[in-house]
Amino acid sequence: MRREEEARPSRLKEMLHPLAQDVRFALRMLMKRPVFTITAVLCLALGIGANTAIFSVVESVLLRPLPYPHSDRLVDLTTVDPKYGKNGVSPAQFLAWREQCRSFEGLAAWNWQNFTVTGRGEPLWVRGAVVSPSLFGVLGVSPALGRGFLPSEERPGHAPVAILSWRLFRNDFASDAKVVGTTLKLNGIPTMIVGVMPSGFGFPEGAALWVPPENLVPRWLFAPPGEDPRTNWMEYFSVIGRLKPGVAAGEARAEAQAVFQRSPGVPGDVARQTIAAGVPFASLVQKVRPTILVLYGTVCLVLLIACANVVNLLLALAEERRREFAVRLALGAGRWRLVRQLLTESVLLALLGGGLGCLMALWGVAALAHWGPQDIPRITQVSVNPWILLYLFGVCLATGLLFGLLPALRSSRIDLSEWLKEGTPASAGRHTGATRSALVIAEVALALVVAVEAGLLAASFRRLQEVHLGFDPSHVLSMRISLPPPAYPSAETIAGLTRQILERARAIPGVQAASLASPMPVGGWVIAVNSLMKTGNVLGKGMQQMQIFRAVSPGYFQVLRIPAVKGRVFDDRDGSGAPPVAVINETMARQFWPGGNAIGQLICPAFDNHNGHPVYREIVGIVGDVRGIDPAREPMPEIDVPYAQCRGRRVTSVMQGLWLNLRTGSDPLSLARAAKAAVWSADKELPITDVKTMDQIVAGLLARQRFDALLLGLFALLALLLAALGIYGVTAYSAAQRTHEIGIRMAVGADPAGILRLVARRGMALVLAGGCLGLIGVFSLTRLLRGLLYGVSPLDPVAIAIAGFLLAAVSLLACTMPARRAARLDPMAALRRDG
Amino acid sequence: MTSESGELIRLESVSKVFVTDEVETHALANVHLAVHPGEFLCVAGPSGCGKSTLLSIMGLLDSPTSGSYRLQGREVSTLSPRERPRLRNHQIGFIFQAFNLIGDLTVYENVELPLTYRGISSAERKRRATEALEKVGMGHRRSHYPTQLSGGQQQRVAVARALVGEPAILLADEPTGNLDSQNGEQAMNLLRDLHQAGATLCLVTHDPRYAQYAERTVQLFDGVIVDEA
Repeated sequence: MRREEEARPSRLKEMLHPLAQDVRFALRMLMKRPVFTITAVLCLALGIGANTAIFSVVESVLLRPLPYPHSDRLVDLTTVDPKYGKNGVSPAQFLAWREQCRSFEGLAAWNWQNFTVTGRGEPLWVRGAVVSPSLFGVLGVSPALGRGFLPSEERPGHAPVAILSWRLFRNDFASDAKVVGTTLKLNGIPTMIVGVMPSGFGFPEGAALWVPPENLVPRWLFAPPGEDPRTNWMEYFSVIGRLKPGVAAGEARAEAQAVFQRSPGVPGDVARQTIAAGVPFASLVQKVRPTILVLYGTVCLVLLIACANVVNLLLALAEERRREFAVRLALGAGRWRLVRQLLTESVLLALLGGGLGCLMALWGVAALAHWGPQDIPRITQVSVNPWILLYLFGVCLATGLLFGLLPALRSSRIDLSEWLKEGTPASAGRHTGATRSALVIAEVALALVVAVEAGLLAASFRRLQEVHLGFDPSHVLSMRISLPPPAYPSAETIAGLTRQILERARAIPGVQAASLASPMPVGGWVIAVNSLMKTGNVLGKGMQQMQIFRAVSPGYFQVLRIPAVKGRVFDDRDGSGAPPVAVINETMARQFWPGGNAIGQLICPAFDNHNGHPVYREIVGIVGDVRGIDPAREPMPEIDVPYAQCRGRRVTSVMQGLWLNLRTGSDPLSLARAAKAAVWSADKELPITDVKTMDQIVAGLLARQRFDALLLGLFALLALLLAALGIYGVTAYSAAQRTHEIGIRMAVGADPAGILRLVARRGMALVLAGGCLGLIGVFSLTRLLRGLLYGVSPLDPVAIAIAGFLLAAVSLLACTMPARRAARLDPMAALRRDG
Repeated sequence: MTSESGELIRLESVSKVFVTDEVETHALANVHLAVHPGEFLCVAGPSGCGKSTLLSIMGLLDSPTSGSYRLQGREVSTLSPRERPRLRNHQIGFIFQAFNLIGDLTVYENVELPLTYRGISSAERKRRATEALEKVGMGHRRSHYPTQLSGGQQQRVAVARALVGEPAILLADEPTGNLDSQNGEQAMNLLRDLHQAGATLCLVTHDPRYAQYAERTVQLFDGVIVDEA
């Protein structure tokens, strides 16, 4: 005894040595059973890989804070209209807050702005932002090259300056540091580049160029010429602020609300608004949150199925190793020691699965960043970062313990005297058989839930595809032309350009018709206005619902084949000197003139004024509804007006983004080069972007739904495969255990078909039980999908039936394979096996 | 270490009843048995007479339904499940009919196994396992796996594993049952040599040839000791 005590190693060694021994033995055990190891590692890799890839989206989109110092102190300030919800912020509000609020270290306003960069090869179109000079300071980011904006650079009369993003600097200026200090033409105005922001910076997301207000953009962005910006209540800014340390967002909101309420001259419709302060971009994230959470929930189910499979494999292996466990226990291993050794094996297995899963996740994350729908914020920034690796490690440990614990506990509770005798005890495998069957039932149930989910999303996507968009997208080429405001400052100058472009485009061989629209009717953004109605001589009140405003050229309806329902569409009669006219869509006619008497009525879109006087337009036609923004949503009321009759500053700004649509007789893209040449023949400095067929644009409308359906379809396939593997394993194991019985049955006259039925029946009974349990899951879980479905009930019987049929087919295949093998057994060999 | 009476093992009125589906099977009934240090005892009897059950109880693999079991003077029939493995590891060495070597471990690792559960140093384990293997003449096969050995060699390794922990008693359950007569003889000679070197042995067998190796034989029939010679 004394000798043993002297030989006892140090405490650390005492702890580490058995662990090292367990790991060594576990590795050897896994290597000696390659089929088991490969199957289990693949199951886990698929489950963990899919789970990690989707969690990286959760982390990037839902959890990751903004990449700025102390980003928890950044808040968005917005106005909230009781009727229309969240709105932008007006210059008057912003300036009042900036001067009077004490809760903020700094406040910055910003607004998207498109820029044309000329003077360096082909004209470049860049999406950037007009920002108050304080923006970079508020965010806590300094330029990598050059300097930021000076406070004085937001005041009128200052020399125009701009700052480039690192991406623009690298891709379009060849990372030439000499660009700082040089002068480029932005929107036709010579502008000095004063800095380059660091790599990865892009606020708002995707912005590539920043300018302060009062240069390069219409002066009315802060205030119309000669007007005090403190009286400009048009709400087109977004505002971000940095709270002082210790100040809560609620306190800041209350202060902003108080400042707002005591501001002089607040118009009546603005005064009813309240102020909200929240996490920046929360509303964007809010929109995609349900989709991402459903995807994450689904991959968790897939991981559970994978774990159940591995538990099944381990239980089968544990049966095989029972005698080994008995020997270890007989030689003095405590129960915990054995459990620890088996858990070491399962965690090692999980780590191997996690390693392979990590490679799969890397691939999956790259695919998600590349092909993921762009309306998911920060999708391009999805990556496997250290946090994700930590998550992965946690998942490995958790799954290792989850699937290892049951077999380990089971294995440590055995009747030693029974197992150490010669031969296998009659009770062997009975309990694990029941557990393994229960696991397969659970796997089938989970797989059914995932398959039904995928089926519902696929059905919903199909319904969306079947939605009639209200126009004919085939054989249409579309491109965006961005007009530099200085070169095209008025509606008249733009109207002249549109005439030239249309004349030249129509002359291209293969072009059947050409038209222009501002903005694009499909896939772009909308200009929402409120209009006044005039009935007789009585000026109507503002309408109850906002309307889409669009300026179009003659031929617009013909090119897109939007049908005229009543009255007429625009033609050459509707020139600049003719009486102002408008065409409305069916929804607008129905909502505002339910009596069917819309034709001949007078309306005045809020944008539409000439020298400050409202322009009343006669409704001359009603056209079909176009579902161009979201096919799942009911169309909004829409007012279309002819380019030639557009007047006023705000309409001009709308017209500065032109979309050229060409109906062609052949492949639309084959005419792209000629179409661009036609535009450049009118003005060689016009940037042309987004050259696509209308079919491509329409496909983009459903990109997210397609992506969701595809991804869930993939996970459903994975779930079915894993469940099939589990069914196969249990049926094969059960058949192997019944070899002796099968031999006896054959000896007394059972034919192979009977044996096949006998074995397959057991597997299919589990599938049936799993299917019933799965239906309960379907009834309780698919309700969560309601918000993602269009035209399909969460309990759609067709989707459930198809998923059930697929599951049954895959399961039958999985059952039949071991059943066929059993049916081909040699009865004599089977009888020689132990009963 | 022995009890005050000089007995290594003392069983008093030990019974074992198995209950399955309302059927009670009396595997052992009122068994009294004592084993002294250095003794070579044989438990003989026909199949199903309760020999292995008796050995399982003596080896702390099972507990009696009633009665008393004292090992080195200590009552062990009521030991907790946590105490049993430790006592088994230190005081009892098993030799099974089916050898029960672990196929994934080498000969050396199989022999070393009981020592790893004691938490003693690697060097000490190596010394003792090598010594045990040399004692049974298997030192040259230390790196082999059990499947690479003959039945006789596997049983020698099993004996080495039983010896390595220097237990108070070796329990051998039909150690020749899976061996041919020549290897069976060799295995029994090895046990006899161990006994002559001072080991206490309890052998379970139904073969009268091997029962003769023991100093004392108890005959078991239907769970009752019917004869002692």
